[in-house]
Amino acid sequence: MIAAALLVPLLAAEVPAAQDGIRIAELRLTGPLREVTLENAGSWRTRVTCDLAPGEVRTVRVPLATSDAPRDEPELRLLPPDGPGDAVLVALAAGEDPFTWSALPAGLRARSWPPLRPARPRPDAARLALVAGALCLGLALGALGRRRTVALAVGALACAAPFVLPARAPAALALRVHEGDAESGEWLRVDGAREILDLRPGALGWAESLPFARERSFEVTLETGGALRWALSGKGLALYFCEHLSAFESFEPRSNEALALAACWTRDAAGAWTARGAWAVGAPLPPPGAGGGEAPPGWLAAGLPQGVGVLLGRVARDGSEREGGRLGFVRLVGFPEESR
Amino acid sequence: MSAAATMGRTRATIAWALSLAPSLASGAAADSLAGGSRLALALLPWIALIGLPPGRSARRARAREPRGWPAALALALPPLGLAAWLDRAGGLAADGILATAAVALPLLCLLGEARHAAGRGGGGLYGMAWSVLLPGAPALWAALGWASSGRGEPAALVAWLAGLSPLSWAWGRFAGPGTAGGRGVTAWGGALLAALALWSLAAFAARAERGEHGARAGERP
Repeated sequence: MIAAALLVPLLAAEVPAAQDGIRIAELRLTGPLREVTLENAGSWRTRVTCDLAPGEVRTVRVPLATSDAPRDEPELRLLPPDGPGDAVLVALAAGEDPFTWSALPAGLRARSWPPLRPARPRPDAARLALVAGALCLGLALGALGRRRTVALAVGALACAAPFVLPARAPAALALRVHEGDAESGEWLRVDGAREILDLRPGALGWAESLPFARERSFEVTLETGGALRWALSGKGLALYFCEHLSAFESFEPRSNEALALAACWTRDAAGAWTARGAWAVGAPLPPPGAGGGEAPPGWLAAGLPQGVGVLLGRVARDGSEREGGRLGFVRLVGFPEESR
Repeated sequence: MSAAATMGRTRATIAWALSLAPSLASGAAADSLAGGSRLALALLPWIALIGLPPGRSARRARAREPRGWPAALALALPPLGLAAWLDRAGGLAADGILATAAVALPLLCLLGEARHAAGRGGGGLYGMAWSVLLPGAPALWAALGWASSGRGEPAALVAWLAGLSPLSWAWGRFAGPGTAGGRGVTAWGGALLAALALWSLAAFAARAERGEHGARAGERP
């Protein structure tokens, strides 16, 4: 009885939101100013990069993390710190997503994050040729006689050269997953990228990084033409941003009203998977066997609830305009079976 | 002067190829290196081979043989630089890479100088100490740990010696905490101390042997 009485307040206590949400603040910037950082005790800081001339005034909308941050004003740090430039917080909550993380179906909140392995760096031909050349030169110098200093200088130069030679940036890996729950009709769009994830300015949603890190930020860039760029940033981190899709046409067996799929798979309530191949917009669900036996990606099929129908899909490249050029996937739990 | 003076041209080329291997890894091999330092892996063959005890022929050549480790170091630097660049491009912190390089350079110099000193006399004693400290203790530590399968701990002395080994330090830089080596001050301090001890031992043994030879020469009529 006593234990139950002690447990009741614990169970009744509000469970804090698991994700870092966004509130939008308005910031008035007066030049000369290069950078403003907003620290609000949350786990994401907001950094605004601009290049304002003396006397130039701009008002920008910036994202602020909401999860563990108190609702008081964030601390502003300016660059240059003692210049005549200024930044004033005009409004602290210029826009709020009425949909909270805890209002989402539990199954949707529990979905696994798509894997974002770091792009694997590889030595290019120039660097390999340099190392091989340094070996030949080193051995030749050794054969010539007492030329220790020259050999060491050559070795040191070849050691430093990989850092100096121009390097091609590895192809950025970006994913987009549409996560749906058929029972509630709720959809989330999850974007993921490593180190830098571009956001639509004004986007409201939830941000996450793997692993958790203190050095992660919302980056706002005020470009010279006046355009605003938003991004999540974190060195060495896999970054994710979830947006609630209030009006997303769904997938029904009789017709695909949402996205063209290059390949799709269904799972019935008994747990049997069926490859269905490509599924065009407006077309009915392809018959079993059209997929040629290709298996769905393991991470996409992992951790899904049992006893309900599931639809998994890989978004067609043709639909890349809607997908922003990323690899796109669909995961819908509660997909109705054809017989219904 | 030649690389052959320290390691032999063939051995230097083998060490060079082995140290380049982590940079060329692809597919599943590259996946297995994820998060680890390729620089630390590339250092392993050089640490193992630059101080390799001199053979009989090298000992016979004695003082006539010039100091050869700078040439070996010159061959080691390019693949190490490439591995460090790949570590940085792969997202490893710059301070960690610099810390590995800052310990590795004096370590290679000390081991090379120890080998040079051993070539001038007292190579047998140096050979025994090198075998215990470099390959012996870490191999025994790993074997005992494997044999115990987690139910016991390797003997304290073996664990202590393995912790001092420069090879354990480099492996610890690759594999992280939980190995015989490690990442703290004790790990790199121990590795440098072990290399310094090897060099001191080699220099002392060489001086003692030269003194003995001098005394014998003095006794001859």
